[in-house]
Amino acid sequence: MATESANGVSSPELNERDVVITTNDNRNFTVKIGVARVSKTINNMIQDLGESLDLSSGIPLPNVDGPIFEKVLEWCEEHKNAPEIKVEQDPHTRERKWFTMTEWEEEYFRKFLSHLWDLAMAANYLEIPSLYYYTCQKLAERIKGRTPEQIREMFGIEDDLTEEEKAEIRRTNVWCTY
Amino acid sequence: MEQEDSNSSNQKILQKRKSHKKAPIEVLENAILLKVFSFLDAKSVVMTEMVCQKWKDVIQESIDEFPKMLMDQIKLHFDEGEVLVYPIDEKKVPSRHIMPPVEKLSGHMKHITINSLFIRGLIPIETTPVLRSLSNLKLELNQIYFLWCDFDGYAETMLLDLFTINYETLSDIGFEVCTPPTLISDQLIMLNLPKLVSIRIWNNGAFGIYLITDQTLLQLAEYFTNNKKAVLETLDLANTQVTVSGVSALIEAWFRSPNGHLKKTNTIDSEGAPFG
Repeated sequence: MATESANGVSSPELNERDVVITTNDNRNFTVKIGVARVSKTINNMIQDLGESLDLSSGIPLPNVDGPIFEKVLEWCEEHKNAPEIKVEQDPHTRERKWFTMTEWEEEYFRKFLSHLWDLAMAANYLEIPSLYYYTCQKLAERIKGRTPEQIREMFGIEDDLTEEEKAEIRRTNVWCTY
Repeated sequence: MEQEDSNSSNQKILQKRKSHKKAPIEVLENAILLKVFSFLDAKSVVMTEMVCQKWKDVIQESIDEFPKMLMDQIKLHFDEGEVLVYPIDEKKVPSRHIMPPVEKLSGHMKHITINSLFIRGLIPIETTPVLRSLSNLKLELNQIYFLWCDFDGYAETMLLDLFTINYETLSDIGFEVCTPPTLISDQLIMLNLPKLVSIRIWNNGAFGIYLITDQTLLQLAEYFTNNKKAVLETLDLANTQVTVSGVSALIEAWFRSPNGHLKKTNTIDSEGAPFG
């Protein structure tokens, strides 16, 4: 993927070259361009810089910290040659079709289960559709079929609805208790 | 963000990009929540609404983007102040509820789509708020049937809105003993006509005659002549202004149409109509 470019900086050889990426905690990551550009945000930066791209001076990522970027890079390395994901929705029920994950991907999310929200944030900012959608699906998987109490407990969410508000929501949704 | 000390060429050039498109953290989080919730089924969406204030707001603001629970039928009995909800699964018993205040009606239906909506005993003062609430929802109705409804003078616009919102799915419209009879006109059903499989407009004559005329029948006849658009199977009219010429034009077109072999049970009940 992404071997086309308007300004000619993009080519298979370039994908093999290293670029330095600096996270907001001032950690430097030396990454193959072919891996880094799984992130559309980074790819756009590389393309924007074009001829003036200075591979050694570092591309700054002000919205991502080192520990999370490390995890993101693991995903990018595995998905550097992966095709674009296809997002589908059942037009009738409006339910999104769930993605089938590879064993590697399942293992990846098992490993980083407690960082799903951070991963989703980073993947959103870095524009990595596969990681973004898959992480959101994993989060949904954890929410699905659980009670509000269990969900709050699991994600450490503060219960800021009053008893009256909760009663009102229950009253309002009473027609759909099937 | 310690970029001040750096003067690399990349950073300078990238400064340009930084100025635009930086969503506040709040907006970003809401977008992610929306994406996560979009994987849920309707039942889980209902649960998720009770987790916290923020999740509730995110769901309620984008309610129509989420999956909804399909109900077979909802009966709104305004005359008795009760609501009957029939689930899709016939083995489950329908549930019975007290009619909520009119302003809360749409809240009760926001997670729901309905095959068939049955409305009984609406009085003029309820017409506008009730019909407006129903039009604001994505109910995806197949069938809507009004019985003993006394509509107010502005009901035409409201009914047209409701029929238009449900245009894609609506195949069955019925009015039984509804007033004022002048409200039930050709114009009211004309837009939906190509999609209607069943039209039942009926009263006992005690409240006057509906304004359904030959215009509706001739339009239907044209659909049968053009064949492709003909979906009508049931037409049940009583106490309308249709005449022999409209009825015979329709029957003739129906008879000639390749799809319209008259073996379905087609009632053209013209009892009391001013012809014959």
